Amino acid sequence: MKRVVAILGLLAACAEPPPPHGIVLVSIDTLRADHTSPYGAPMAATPTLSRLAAEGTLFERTFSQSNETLFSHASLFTSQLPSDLGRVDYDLTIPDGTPTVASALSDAGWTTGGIVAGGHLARVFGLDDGFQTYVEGQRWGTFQETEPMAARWLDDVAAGDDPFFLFLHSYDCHAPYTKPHVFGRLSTPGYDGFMLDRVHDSITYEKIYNGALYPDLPLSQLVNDRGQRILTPEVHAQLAQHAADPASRRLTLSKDDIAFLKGLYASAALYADLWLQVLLDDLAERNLLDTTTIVVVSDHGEGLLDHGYFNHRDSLHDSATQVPFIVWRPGASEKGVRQREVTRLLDVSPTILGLASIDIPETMQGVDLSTCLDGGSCNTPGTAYSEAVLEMTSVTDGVMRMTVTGAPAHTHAMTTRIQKPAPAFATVWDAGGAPGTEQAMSLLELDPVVLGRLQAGALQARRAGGAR
Amino acid sequence: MTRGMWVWMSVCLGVGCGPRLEHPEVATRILAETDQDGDDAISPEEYATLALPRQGFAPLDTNHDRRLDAAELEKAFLTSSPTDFQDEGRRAVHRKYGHPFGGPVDEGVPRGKGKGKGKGKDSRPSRGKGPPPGAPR
Repeated sequence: MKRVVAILGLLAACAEPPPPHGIVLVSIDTLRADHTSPYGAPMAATPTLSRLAAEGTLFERTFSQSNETLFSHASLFTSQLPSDLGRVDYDLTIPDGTPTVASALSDAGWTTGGIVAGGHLARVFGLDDGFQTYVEGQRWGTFQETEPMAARWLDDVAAGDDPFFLFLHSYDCHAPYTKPHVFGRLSTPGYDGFMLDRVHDSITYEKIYNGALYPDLPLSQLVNDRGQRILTPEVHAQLAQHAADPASRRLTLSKDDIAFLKGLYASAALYADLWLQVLLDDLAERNLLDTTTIVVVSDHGEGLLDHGYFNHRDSLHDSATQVPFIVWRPGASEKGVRQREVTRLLDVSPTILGLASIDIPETMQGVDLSTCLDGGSCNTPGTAYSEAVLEMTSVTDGVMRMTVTGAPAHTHAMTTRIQKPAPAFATVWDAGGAPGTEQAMSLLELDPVVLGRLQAGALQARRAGGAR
Repeated sequence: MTRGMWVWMSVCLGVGCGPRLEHPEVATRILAETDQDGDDAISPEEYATLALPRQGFAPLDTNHDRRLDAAELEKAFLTSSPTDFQDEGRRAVHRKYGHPFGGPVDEGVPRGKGKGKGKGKDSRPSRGKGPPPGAPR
């Protein structure tokens, strides 16, 4: 009997791949989950992601902890809520000394590199903490620039024996979505409407509301502490007010116009997916693919008129927060596992550290999911909590969502509002269907058990980072 | 024989099997996604219905046969910077419709005359020709 147990144990050990020599974390900025093939889009939408999912583990319901790049990546790297790191505004930075996934790996002797496409991942925001190498491409840039940079970094890595961690990022799916040559109107060939020559400016998308373009909307910018010019957060409210004024000039979007805009986004997703394949090719050419674990996420989604806007900053709905999360391990037993538990970008860094067999810093709030890549129980809290710069927080259990507004996320006032939600500042949504089909409900209609679960999830997440 | 294999064969016949395309799968997939009439090439007419902007076919047609094959598509794909494309497109929007914040239209810096990151041709990736500025080494 002992011999049988020993053989079974040996077989089980053989089924698990050895610890990875390399881990690559890819962040495809602004890619919403439901616009990728493994999450329900047609197979041709993102074939590389489909292949990774078919050979690895896909987390079906992963939510980001914010709807904007800076806050979401700060949370991703530290496994803390944005409001644990400071006030949720464009001056946020990771406080010195805060453990990050890169610092933990560096401390353990890993070679770490971040290749990012500038913008809110620029070094000035402090997201480079822990990376031995951190390179910025052009602002709001593309994999077309960052992937070749990463390939050259991998040349150096391949020459050494140390394990490595690469973080690779691009804004290819971020507005204005447009791509040169045949990627332009891939989904809507022949489109010749009035949006054709307006789509290259991301500001155009800021002026779309409920099916119309408001070209005369006055916009204003603020300058943050770092001297960067950013649209004022109030732009969405200003747009809604402008749209409500009968005197405002409006250009109504036809079905073809909207299909064209959505098609640009789909083309951008395919374009990013192609570069993901290029990355896999480059890893293979350097004999690294067989020993490298690939983790693919996005930092947030994108509203595609789901809730009135072409944007992601205006809401914390699933369209803006539900993101792809796929883990692919060479030689692993899991093939096509679809994990249904509600997970969070908070869980990504602990999972990477778990895969690397490195102790997870106590400050990290997420769950190590490396133990449930085979489809077993992940023991997650069952809810995902998110924060926005617009004095807004939201929590979902994957079916219902409660959004609370009117106080900055880092304040005790927000805690009080979550504890005692009222219709004046709290809304609940049946979010069990596809993003964009959420049904608003009265707070009073919500099952008290569900409300309690959502409140507890939000409060537990906030408490984990310290009392507010 | 699958359609992908036919495309592979056309690549070999068109440009020869050596030197091989750097990322043949990319070119094959671009072609598979964009070739509307199934002739394993992009005609000027197909290009005009797909591309943004509609002009620009001729510079990509390097062998002047009025069709873009997989090799030409890959070259176009790997040498056109989306960031530069978007910058140029944004300036065109501003010239036509005015600057969104009322300021003067940024005309940018002519290619090759900029200094530093993000301002000129030299800042774009060039596979096999050394790292762009800022690349790790």
